[in-house]
Amino acid sequence: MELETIQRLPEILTAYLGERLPSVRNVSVTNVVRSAGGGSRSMWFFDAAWEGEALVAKQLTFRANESTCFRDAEASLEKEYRVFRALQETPIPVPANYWYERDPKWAGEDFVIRERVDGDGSFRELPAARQRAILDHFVELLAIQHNLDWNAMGLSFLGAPSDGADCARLVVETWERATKRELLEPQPVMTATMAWLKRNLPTAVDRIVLGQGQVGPGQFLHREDRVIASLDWESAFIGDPMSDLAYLDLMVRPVIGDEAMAALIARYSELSGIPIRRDNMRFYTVFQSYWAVSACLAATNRFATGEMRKLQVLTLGVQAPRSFLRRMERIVREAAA
Amino acid sequence: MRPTPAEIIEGLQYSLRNDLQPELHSAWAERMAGSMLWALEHLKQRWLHEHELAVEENADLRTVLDSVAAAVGVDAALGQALGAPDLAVASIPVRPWPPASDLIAENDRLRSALDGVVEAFPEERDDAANELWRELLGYIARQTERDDRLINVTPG
Repeated sequence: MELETIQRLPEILTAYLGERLPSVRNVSVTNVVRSAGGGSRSMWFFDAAWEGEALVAKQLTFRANESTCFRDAEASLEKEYRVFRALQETPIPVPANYWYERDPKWAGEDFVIRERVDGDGSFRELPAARQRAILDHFVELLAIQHNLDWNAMGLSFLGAPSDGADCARLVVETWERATKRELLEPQPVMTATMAWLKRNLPTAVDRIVLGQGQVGPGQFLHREDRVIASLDWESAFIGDPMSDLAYLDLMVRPVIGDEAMAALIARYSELSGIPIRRDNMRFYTVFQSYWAVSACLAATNRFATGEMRKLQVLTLGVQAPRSFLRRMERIVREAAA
Repeated sequence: MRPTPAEIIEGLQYSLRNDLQPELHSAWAERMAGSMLWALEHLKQRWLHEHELAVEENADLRTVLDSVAAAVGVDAALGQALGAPDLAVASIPVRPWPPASDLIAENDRLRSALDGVVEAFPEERDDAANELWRELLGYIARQTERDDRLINVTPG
């Protein structure tokens, strides 16, 4: 977003809420603060006030469309908004998403107005007992999520695989295409990893589910050891539940250790009724790394080509993917040993 | 010329950390300042080491592509599977003091050739082809390590 728009945000948001809430009077907006969290899209928190009644929270978020890493073909703001709206009707706790705005007259680009939930996003620094309590609740929610009827929720627009074998094939095709589109120089590590993925495509999937994509700590807020808001749905997909589980494993195992992770996975399986397929999880562990690097390549592309020469784009494109690259390189090399 | 670029970057880092950061009062600004400190350190490491690493990288690629050429010379089936990779690029004479722009252009050709080999490498392999595949992956590990030296840096 342009500096002039950022400076005018209080005025823009006041006018916008006034138009969207015709039954209230004297709308005002204060405390507009840029969020330091997240890496893909810029967000500002703000407080709104008005006279009269409206079924809208007064602590809100302005989420701009401008993305550092994702392209609309893979993860658009509108897609994310539609997933949030569908989830609002389920037991999955998500912040209310009120409006998706396409008219450029407001901020020069699409944006979403969303409820801002007060909660704690920390995890690594918490005592082990609290980490486990939070994760226990999280896998309860993950089990519920993986049993949602995504078709009835109107989410088949996310791209429904025709069968189990189609799940992995679809995501591999999508992200190979995205990688080739974004690469500015040859990256043999990506090519070798893609070869590994194609050789190891899972074919057996017990249930095709609504997946979140980026799962677990860092993607939710908690309070009193309960998950109160699941925040990140821009990578949502329809596919193999082992994908979400692999991402959770990737992020959480280094923090809680092997034994606790095994217990968590077993609990998920028991609650969801979905058996654990280790080969699928291994595939998605590698795929998640490939996916993360691929998304970061778009940031590198945007920065280097001048499409978006901003510091946050540089760091996401260059610094963020290193651990994923090392993991991919190691797994592919070990497989050949 | 003194001060060197690395010394100037260190001066920028000092002022950012000691003069500007204490005056910042929002989490977003703090985050940007942290990113700037990393970017300055990344620039410094590139100034100090990128040229030597690029020379090393291109020599590494030449060696691996020579191995590919040797393997294709004795294994017609492998040669057929790989199509026609641009292996001649490995024998372009090395200039003793190549400018950075030459190194980058050369790296692009060498890496493209190797990338094509990796993409076309057959799934079914005999022992010799497996050995070559491991050599290709060995290059990838070293290339990842070289990039890490420039990117995984902590501002001093």
